[in-house]
Amino acid sequence: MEMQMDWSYVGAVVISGLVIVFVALILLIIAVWVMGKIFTSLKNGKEEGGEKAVEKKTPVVTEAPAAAVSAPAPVVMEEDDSEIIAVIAAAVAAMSEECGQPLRISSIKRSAPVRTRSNAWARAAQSESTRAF
Amino acid sequence: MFQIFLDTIADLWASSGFAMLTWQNVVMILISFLFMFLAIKHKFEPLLLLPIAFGMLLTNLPGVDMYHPELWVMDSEGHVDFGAVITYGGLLDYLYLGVKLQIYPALIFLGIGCMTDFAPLIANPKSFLLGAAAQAGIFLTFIGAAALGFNALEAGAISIIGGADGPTAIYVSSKLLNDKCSITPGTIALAAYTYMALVPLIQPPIMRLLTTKKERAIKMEQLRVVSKTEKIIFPIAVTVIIALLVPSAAPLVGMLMLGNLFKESGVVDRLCKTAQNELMNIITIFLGVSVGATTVAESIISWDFFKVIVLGVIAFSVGTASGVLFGKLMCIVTGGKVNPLIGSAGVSAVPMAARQSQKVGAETDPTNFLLMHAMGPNVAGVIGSAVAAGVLLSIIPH
Repeated sequence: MEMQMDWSYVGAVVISGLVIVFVALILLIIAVWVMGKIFTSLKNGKEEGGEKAVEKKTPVVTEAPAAAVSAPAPVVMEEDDSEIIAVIAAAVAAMSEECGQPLRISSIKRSAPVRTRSNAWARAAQSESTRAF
Repeated sequence: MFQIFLDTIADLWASSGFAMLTWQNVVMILISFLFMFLAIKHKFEPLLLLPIAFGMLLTNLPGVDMYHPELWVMDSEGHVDFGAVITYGGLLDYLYLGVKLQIYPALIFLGIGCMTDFAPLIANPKSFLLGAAAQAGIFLTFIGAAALGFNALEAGAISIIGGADGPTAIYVSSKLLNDKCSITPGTIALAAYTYMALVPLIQPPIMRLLTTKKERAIKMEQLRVVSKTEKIIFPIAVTVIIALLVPSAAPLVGMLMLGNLFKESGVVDRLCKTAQNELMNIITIFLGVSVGATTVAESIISWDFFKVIVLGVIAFSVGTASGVLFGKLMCIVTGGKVNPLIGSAGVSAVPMAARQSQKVGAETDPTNFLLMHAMGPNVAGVIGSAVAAGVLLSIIPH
């Protein structure tokens, strides 16, 4: 093999390589951090502005308090839940097909926090995310 | 008449590949069968290992003349005679142009950019440090390669295996290695993809060895939601910063970020789909089969290839270990908020390395979900290895 390297050159490659990589990625950290701060403060500013607006408006709506109380409901309805509905409908359809009779969801309850492997959905998610390639 | 028949048969035999077959060819053909077996049966990075192995088979069948190593010999000024390649080359020579001219790895990065979600990294920018720390494998292996007698070009090509990124390894090795070198981009690609396939075997023992049970059980805080605007600004900012700081990394980082901008902008859906599906698949075929074609017998049946294999696993292990150790440091500095296991994902094998963090973490506590936290260092590793590649190319004269 030609062009054998002397150790000072090897050291220079290693040190300068590591330093440049760290400097480049630290610059990116700073850029992303600054960007995150700006957007977080903008978002907070908007939320505070929104809250203040609601606070200012509330005393004005003295004639119709019931309407003010029910105001958040239409906001929830406006969200696009089509994907969630499609997933739930598909799950119900799959279960219906499995047991051979039509099923419908009659109630939804919040489950206890997952502490063990007993939760089937947690197990499925974990298995999916840790499955070997 | 019988004599003419015998002469014809003798001529046919003399011009057939069987007559030209050497024991080196037979060994190489058997090795290509082994890699095909690993790709098909054990699914070792099959998308690239299968075309690489088939390219290896084609190039080692005597008389086929699809790839001519002699056409890639450089002149005294270090230039390849591309006119000769076009005039006398075979199919695989033409396809190899895309490797030699650095086209394929950059286009693969375009597709990867379209498929990568940088949100975990934007939400936790400290992950960049883990992506940088894991690149120590690259530079420390450079020392090992020098100690084993490799020259600067070969040492640079071998050490990039530690970046655990196939296209980057091919990009650097095809740029650094020339006909005077004892190894080829094909040998580097074979080692890199084999080790990437072996991530689930190589990484977990190192991760367990370097962390305590208490550290592995650390649960990390949920990441903040990243806005669409941030996701759009990110690829532009990264391109500007990296291209200004390390211009030689711009082809890889630039294409990666262009792909990501396609994805995040949401206005060029067609381009994004093409880049991550059809284009990437076509390039993968061309890249694999032409890189495989460079694995001629002389480059594989040698001690140097054995040394590359040994140095490759060292590079991978050192990268993993340095990521975990830096994770431990961050754990101490942050008062136990960082699980050191996510450090191993700093090597850029996406998403296998992040999956190992999740898997080893879940062994200690099944309710600990580290996957999204590990994706930050994992995608940072992609950027980090591209930067490291640019650094190697700018430091090592070629």
